[in-house]
Amino acid sequence: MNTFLYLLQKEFIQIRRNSFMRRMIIMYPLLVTLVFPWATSMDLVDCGVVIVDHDHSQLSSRLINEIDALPLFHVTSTTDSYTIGMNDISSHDATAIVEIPHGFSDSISVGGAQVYIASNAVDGLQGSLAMNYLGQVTTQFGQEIGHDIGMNTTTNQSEVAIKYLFNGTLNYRHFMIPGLIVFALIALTAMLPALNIVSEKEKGTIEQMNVTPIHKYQFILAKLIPYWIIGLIAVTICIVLSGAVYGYLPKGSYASLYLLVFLFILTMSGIGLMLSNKSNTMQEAVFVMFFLMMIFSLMSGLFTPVQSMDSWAKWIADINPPRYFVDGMRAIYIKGSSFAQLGTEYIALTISSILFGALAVYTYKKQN
Amino acid sequence: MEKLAIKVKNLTKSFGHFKAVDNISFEVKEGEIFGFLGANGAGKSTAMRMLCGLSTPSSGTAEVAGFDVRKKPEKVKQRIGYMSQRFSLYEDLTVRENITLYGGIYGLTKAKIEEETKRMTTQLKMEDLLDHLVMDIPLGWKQKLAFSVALIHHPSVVFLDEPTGGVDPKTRRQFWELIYEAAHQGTTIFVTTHYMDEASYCDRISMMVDGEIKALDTPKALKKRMGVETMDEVFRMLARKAKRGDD
Amino acid sequence: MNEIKAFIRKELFHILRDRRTLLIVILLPIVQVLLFGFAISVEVQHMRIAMVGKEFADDQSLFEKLAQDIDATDACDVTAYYTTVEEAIDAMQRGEIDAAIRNGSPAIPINPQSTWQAAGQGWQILTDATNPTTGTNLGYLLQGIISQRMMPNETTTHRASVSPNSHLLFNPQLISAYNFVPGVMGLVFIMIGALVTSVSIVREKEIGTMELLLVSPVKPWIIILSKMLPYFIICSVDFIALLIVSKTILHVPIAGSLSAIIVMSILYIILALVIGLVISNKTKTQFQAMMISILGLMLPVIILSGLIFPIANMPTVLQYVTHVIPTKWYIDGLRKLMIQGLGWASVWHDIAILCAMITFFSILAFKTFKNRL
Repeated sequence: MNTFLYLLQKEFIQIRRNSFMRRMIIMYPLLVTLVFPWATSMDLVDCGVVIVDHDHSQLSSRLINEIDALPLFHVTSTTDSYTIGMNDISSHDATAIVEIPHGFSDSISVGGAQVYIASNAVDGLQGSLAMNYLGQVTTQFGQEIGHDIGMNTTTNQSEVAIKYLFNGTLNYRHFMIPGLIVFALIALTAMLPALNIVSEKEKGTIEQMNVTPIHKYQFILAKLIPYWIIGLIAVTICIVLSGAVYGYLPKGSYASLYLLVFLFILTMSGIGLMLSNKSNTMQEAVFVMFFLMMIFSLMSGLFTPVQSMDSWAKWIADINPPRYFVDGMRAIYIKGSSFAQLGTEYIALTISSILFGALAVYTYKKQN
Repeated sequence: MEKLAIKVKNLTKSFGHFKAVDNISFEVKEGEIFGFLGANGAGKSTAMRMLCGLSTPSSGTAEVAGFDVRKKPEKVKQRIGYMSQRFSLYEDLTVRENITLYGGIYGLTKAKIEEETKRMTTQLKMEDLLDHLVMDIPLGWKQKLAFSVALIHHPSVVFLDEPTGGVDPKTRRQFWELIYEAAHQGTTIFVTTHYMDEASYCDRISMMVDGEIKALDTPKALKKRMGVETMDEVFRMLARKAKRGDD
Repeated sequence: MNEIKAFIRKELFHILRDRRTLLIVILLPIVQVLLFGFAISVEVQHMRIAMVGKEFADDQSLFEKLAQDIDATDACDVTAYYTTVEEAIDAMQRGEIDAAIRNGSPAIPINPQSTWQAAGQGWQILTDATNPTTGTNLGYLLQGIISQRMMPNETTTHRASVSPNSHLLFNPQLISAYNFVPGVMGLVFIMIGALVTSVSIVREKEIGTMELLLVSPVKPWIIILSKMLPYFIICSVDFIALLIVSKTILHVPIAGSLSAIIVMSILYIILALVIGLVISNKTKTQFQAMMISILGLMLPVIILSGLIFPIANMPTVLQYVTHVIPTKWYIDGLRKLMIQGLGWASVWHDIAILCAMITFFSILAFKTFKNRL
């Protein structure tokens, strides 16, 4: 045990001396809580619409004004040529085009008015959102006119109400902050250990360790513990900052949150060290880690929903430990899910932390 | 009969078809300074790594400090010291922290570590450098420090893998004084080198060529047998027969 | 000229000998684009819907029909039936369902302690809005399905109306790969390019061989150039492979000017290498170079380049920040060229910015390099 404490002390001194690493540990939580949440929104905001008006009527300008008045949209230009309109789309000045045909205002009252709507679907989600919203606006416009001219007395608005649970204000930041915390943890507790042992290999210091009688598990544990502490500090900084800045705190219990965080850190640091054991050069370790980080972040539901993936991709997501952590973090943060409700997540992360912890020890070879 | 510190019999290490170490046998007596010579790629590092428990032998046996390296490598590691050709102290730790770390790893008590630190720094005249980062001290000092640290737990055998590589002649001489002192206190020294002048400092030397030991005797006897004046010539005569090139 | 050749040969030999790294550098990008080209999608799909309160429904058959309607869509599957709303909310907290549809019958028992309040009569959709985009999209989708089923038969009634005739341009099937492939390519090139260059140069500094090279009579810029050229070749091989993979396997169209795509990519790869050079000049250890390349580039590029999150949605200040992210311009240009099928004229702006960035970073690299000598 005594030996172990000396090893641990050494790791701490080395991290403390590495001013670069110290800065990363502080910078990352700051970035993910204060800067990046502002950039991560998939909602439609201030979407440019170009209008091609062939009707030039009172009603057509009323429709244009209505669209422009909506917070979601702004009319970038009004023209009477479709080609000019399309140019605006191509140059990304506008996302959608609304074409009002000749004779529009005359055909409303006979129920036959059509409006041509097209949106740029290169970004599929944005395109379809814009199209759907504009569709709704024009349909409503028709009904409004019907009301005004006294035709539509009965309403066919069916009484279907939508209730948004858990994130009632539809705040995208609330969705992204727990996810970005996950990314910071991946960076700090998987990336850093991945470079640790292999850097000792490159420097040659690992040889000296290998000729001493220290136990493998002591050596690995002494390497892991500092990263666990780094991870817990980073999470705490993130939680405190987002609480202080956005007034956004986890709905669920802190105990279950920290337990989940801890299991995840164990998993990630185990994977990192395992990779480090298996690599011959730092270069190799960092490339593989980059690849793993992409899988960890892009196939875990962190940025895009797992539900939307193809079935084979879903299968990869199912064996991707961060997937469970992302789900669990969001559930605890946003839905206030309890420990019992997140059984799958806790079990999956417990298994992965034991598995990769054991592998980190197993793959470390004092002898070859 | 004198006690043996190292007993090697038919030791072989192969990587695929390539035999890096090919069926070598030798013995090293306690307290002896044993020089292990050979050109680059002759297999001396591989042989040494097996003796230190860093590498598992493909066949044959080796006993170091009374334990079989294949069956009890960790027991061997308790009793040996090692200093590799690549500088192996932690550059981002201070001199004191390095000493404390290795003292702690070998299970020395706190008081004992402090005592050793004091003894070592006085011996090396490094009192002023004690709290400097290792990366900031000159190479010669580093090597001497690494040697002392390898001896911190008073091992019965110490392995030195080209310990004086890249050091100036003056420091090399100082280094050998340290080696003599340790040998004087009963530590067995197993040293590889390619400086032939250093070879004559050894009690006995062995010459490795192409994974095999081609000669093993005292430097004097070897020179006599070959009928030459210097160790350099001995080496050249043996190495001429080598089939493996430098790599 | 001969010494350049010799140096390049040395570097190439170096790289070719390290098979493992070479394999990683060439294969990883391809695997990544394949993987993420297929996997990254933001469409609302495979949503798990629960039906609540069938026992209390006034019209059981209507309830059944509705469930069938929902199940019949591509986007939704009815996966569970519950008696009470509480059960559905619990399932949502467990992450088992994404939305629940509740029959508004007052007969459905409500736990008085529940925070959940029934809002009036009629049908109600409860969606998990943890992800607001999915939540709202799913809500609208279900609302549409239910309204359709409930729609009073009014074909006979004469009503005033405007009906939208809607189209999606460029990507009518909403294939996410169309959007993400250029993005993933942008990410991969800058990461690999900056990483390999910076690490390989700093590595030589760390081992000490760089000093050896720099004291040799060979001009420093030749050394640097010879270090970058092999990686430029590797990245170009990656680029060709990626283009083929996205065209043949992911079926991403290359609708616009191929020559413009190639020119843009070459510029972008050069830029990535030059950025790597700057990083290598600014760092002393491999560790630092890696941290800056990976951590300093990866997250900003994923988030601020428009790869996943639309730039138009960001606050103005951040929109300005995105201008300095090279990947933004590359992705923007590539999307125009590949998917919108536009030509040179549409991307001259992007190309000009990439060129400006190359100039800027080259000067920076040159200056920082001088300082170190």
